[in-house]
Amino acid sequence: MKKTSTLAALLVLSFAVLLLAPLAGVKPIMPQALLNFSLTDTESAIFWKIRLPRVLLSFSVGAVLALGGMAFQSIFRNPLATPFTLGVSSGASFGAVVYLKLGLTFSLLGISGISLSAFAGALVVISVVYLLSTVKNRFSSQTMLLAGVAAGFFFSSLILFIQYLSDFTDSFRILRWLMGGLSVIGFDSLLSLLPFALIGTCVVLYYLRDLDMMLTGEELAIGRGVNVNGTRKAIFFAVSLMIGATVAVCGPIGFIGMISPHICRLLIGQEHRYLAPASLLFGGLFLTLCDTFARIVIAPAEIPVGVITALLGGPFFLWLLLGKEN
Amino acid sequence: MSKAILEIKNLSVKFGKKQVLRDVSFEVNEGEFVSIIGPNGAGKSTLLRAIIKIVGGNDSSIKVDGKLLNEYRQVELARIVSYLPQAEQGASYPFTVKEFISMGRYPHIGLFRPFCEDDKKAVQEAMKMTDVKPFENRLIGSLSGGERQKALLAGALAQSAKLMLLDEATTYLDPKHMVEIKETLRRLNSELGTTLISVTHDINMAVNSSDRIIALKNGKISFNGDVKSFLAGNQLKNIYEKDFTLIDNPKSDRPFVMLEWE
Repeated sequence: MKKTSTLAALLVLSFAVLLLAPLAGVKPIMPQALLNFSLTDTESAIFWKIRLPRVLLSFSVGAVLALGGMAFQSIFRNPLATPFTLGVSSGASFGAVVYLKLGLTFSLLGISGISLSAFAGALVVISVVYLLSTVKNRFSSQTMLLAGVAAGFFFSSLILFIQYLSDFTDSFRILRWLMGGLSVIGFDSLLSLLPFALIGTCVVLYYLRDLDMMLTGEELAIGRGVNVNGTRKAIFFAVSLMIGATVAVCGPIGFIGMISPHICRLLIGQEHRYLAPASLLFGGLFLTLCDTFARIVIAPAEIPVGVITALLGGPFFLWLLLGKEN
Repeated sequence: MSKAILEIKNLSVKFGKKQVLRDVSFEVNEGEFVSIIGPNGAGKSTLLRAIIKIVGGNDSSIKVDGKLLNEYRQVELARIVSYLPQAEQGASYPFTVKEFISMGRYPHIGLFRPFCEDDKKAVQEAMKMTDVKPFENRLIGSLSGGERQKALLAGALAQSAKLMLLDEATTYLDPKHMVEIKETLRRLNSELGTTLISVTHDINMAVNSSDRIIALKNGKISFNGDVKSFLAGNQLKNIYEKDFTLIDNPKSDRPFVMLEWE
């Protein structure tokens, strides 16, 4: 069957990339050396402490962003609705920017202060959007969508305002953070992301059939027995938390959450039991490749990965979209 | 004496300041075919939406199968009541006809209850009754209006509910498809014993196929009774404020209803 084989191909590709990506870099590592345990101390440190955590992190972040985007697009029945367009990332960024601007330095349980602030920012936006959409006692996705967009703009403006008030150094740090990046050392970031990623993913996977139903419209879904509001709330919270956690770890990396699910729809169709795993794999694959590219293309310097995802993703997506039409 | 599958007592629905339904009370027995007619904005669709809990807050006025609405989770309600909403203009669901009809089995499937033989059978049965087999692999979005309505009806049928709510199931259809849908509904009612509540603007459809007619006007019930007494009184004039003529139908003992115009 075509769908199963597409999934299998994605799976194989993912494994290949996960195996090969940590070997590539300014200082390539030979696979034989790794297999014979004959890495030098430096190589070993590079592989285990820098490259492997980074590749695993980028794969998880990409996967989570794509899955979250898919879930939002489906519950709102709107291809532009993603946690990013709905303000979660702006909130998180605002948290991080405040942290940078105030020059704070703290950490809790091994999680950096900037991550915590970003996460707090995401939480604020999630709550505000949720409260706004329940204000008129009837919970509506339309209100939620607009509230999210409004909150996104509001916090983006606050970020610009803070940047304007900052000196060059702060302003540059803020700008660099806003471009997103995956340069981590060790597994701490990955571990702090993992619980949120797992919970969010499980919630989305639990509701896959509901997501199918929601694509046929609210009325029909309710008629078939879907608790539409319940599902929407559960997914909104779980996905927002999960995305908040990724932005906290690696800044806002845009575009992946919007285009990966779309590309997967073109490849594999709309049924969520195929679409969800495809999005997870594709998102992971795509971000890992982009990040590897970002690491090596102007080595030893790096391009912010957020720039690459948009630069590569945009044209690729257009090509697929237009190709499919014919 | 057959048992009431739907009991509505003093149902009132308000949207903001607008009173959409006031003090609506009626019962529907198992196996009945009831048509609900009335002018635009009379509250017909809202009535159906309240029964299926799309419009909430009426838990104490509506009883389905002997239990108040609030005793049902949405999915439990969907095993008893299926709902065919008004055609959503321009909506193209990204599924094939067969996939879509299979999704009608939603309320019967769970985490520990996968899609099984019974479900396949129900889907096949629904496809047979509605005659959608020839285009089962086409996307819903690529169908004509008539084929689409058949597919939607099949989806509701696959739900295997004993009460079906239909909101203008034959509106916008050409005569052929209209008659086919009407026939399917009649068979559904007489052969499978499914209770039907059909909201319609097609007075002839209501007169020709249903056992009973309920007329709504300005959110209130203005008539509730069998077809004979509906035609005998001056009901149509009361409801629509227009004159109608009855003409004999050579193929049925129920007459045609014609709107008089110049």
